[in-house]
Amino acid sequence: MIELKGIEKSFGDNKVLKGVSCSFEEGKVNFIIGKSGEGKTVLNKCMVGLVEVDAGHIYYGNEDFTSMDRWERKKVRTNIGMLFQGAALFDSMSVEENIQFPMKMFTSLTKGERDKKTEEILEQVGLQGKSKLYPSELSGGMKKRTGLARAIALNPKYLFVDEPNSGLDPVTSIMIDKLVKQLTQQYNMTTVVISHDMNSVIEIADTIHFMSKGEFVWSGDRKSILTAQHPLLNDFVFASQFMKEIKDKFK
Amino acid sequence: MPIFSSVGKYSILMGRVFSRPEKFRVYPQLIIREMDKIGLQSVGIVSLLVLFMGAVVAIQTASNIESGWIPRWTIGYTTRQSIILEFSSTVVCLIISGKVGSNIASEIGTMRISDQIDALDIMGINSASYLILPKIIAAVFIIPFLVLLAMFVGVAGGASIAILSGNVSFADFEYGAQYDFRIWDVAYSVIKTLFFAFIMTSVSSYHGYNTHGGALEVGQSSTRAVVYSIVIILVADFLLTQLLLL
Ligand SMILES: Nc1ncnc2c1ncn2[C@@H]1O[C@H](COP(=O)(O)OP(=O)(O)OP(=O)(O)O)[C@@H](O)[C@H]1O
Ligand SMILES: [Mg+2]
Repeated sequence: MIELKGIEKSFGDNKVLKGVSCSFEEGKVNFIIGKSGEGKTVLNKCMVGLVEVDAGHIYYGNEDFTSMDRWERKKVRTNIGMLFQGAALFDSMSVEENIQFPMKMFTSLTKGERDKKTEEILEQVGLQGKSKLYPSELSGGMKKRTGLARAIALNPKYLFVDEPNSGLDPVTSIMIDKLVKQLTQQYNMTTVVISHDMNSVIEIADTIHFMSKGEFVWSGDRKSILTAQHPLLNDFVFASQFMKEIKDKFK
Repeated sequence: MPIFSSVGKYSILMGRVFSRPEKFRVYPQLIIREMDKIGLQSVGIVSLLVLFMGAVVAIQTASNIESGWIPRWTIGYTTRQSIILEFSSTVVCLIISGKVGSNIASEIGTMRISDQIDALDIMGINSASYLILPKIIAAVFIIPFLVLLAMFVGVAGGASIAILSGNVSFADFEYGAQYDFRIWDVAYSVIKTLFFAFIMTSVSSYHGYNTHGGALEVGQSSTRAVVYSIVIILVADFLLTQLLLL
């Protein structure tokens, strides 16, 4: 479980996060949704420690991540996997080397054990036989899957996913979404997904937090999001004609 | 003053580069790869450069001492001294800075803008040390050898070109090239090189590491890396010369 208490963050005069509090549950896919520029990515970076918070606390389990030094954080981080928007694969390494990189750095597995594990993971994300390809030879969807494979290579307890399906076609998007959900349940991870894609939300979200102007203004699940009476949330969810029609049917 | 904040940021980055590295076992392989990139792949351009430098200095000296009261062996002496003292170290390092500096800055800058550095940090890896330390160690180790090679190629090769092209006679060169040879001059050059190697790799890495934005900014960082490396090497050359030769 990850718990946020009163997270604040400013860049100069621009107060991006204004006291975000919530908890993300284990074994569930927790969504953070919201319009562009509302501070979702900044919150994500605060949670993993790439950006320091101005105020507030972040707890991983019972441990206060915000007050840890670099070496204590390092221990927590070996339990964190993250899939970046652009996948952030290491260009100079093949698919296989990308996936094995965290294993090489943090475990004492032998080459045989690493190869076996890599093969298992590749099969899970549907990339059998692609292990020798380099990132420049992969499609967008394959990059995401490789990124996901690398993120789960050390069986993390926490998985962060920023915009899992930006730039992907609907079929590949749903495939990635389902993969995230399946891996979350299989490894009982606390997964945090940042998205503004309502399709993903309806498809896999267990809990949903709606961010507006640096705060969570609504929280709920994927059923309640369709019936919620929150004007800002309604504007976001029913931005498209298609969703409006679904809403009318739902009534 | 932006310069103070840059110096501060540079120092903090170097602090992280030299703090306890992740896993010693992975470093030798990284260092060897960098030695190949920084050192071996520069042998061609360095040899070419000093070969012609040596030849030009020999020919220029020859044409400047037509008057007769300066002995002809000055040609060999001048060529050797300029190659050993300045061309092999400073000029060669300036050339390597152009090649290696832009290479390092664009490599690290691309990793920055595509979140690869964040990915390392999130895994719990000290990205500064992992990416930059092997480059610094490799350069400080391998570039002095390039400079020694440059001395040899510059004097021997340069002389050969000047002699074979008929501009200078072998006798004019030979005596001077051996006259009053001091090993300290070679050491002086190599010592300077150690500093230059550190400057070019660390400064270029700094510019790459602090890239923000996109492909355009990567290009700008790599230009800045080369310009700053060159300027700082020239200033350091001046200071080191004062310090070592006086
Ligand atoms: N490093 C930074 N320095 C200054 N301002 C920043 C920085 N990072 C983000 N911001 C500002 O914080 C605000 C929120 O940005 P953020 O990237 O979190 O939005 P987002 O909700 O993720 O949007 P999107 O859905 O488009 O990704 C923006 O106004 C942005 O300008
Ligand atoms: Mg974002």
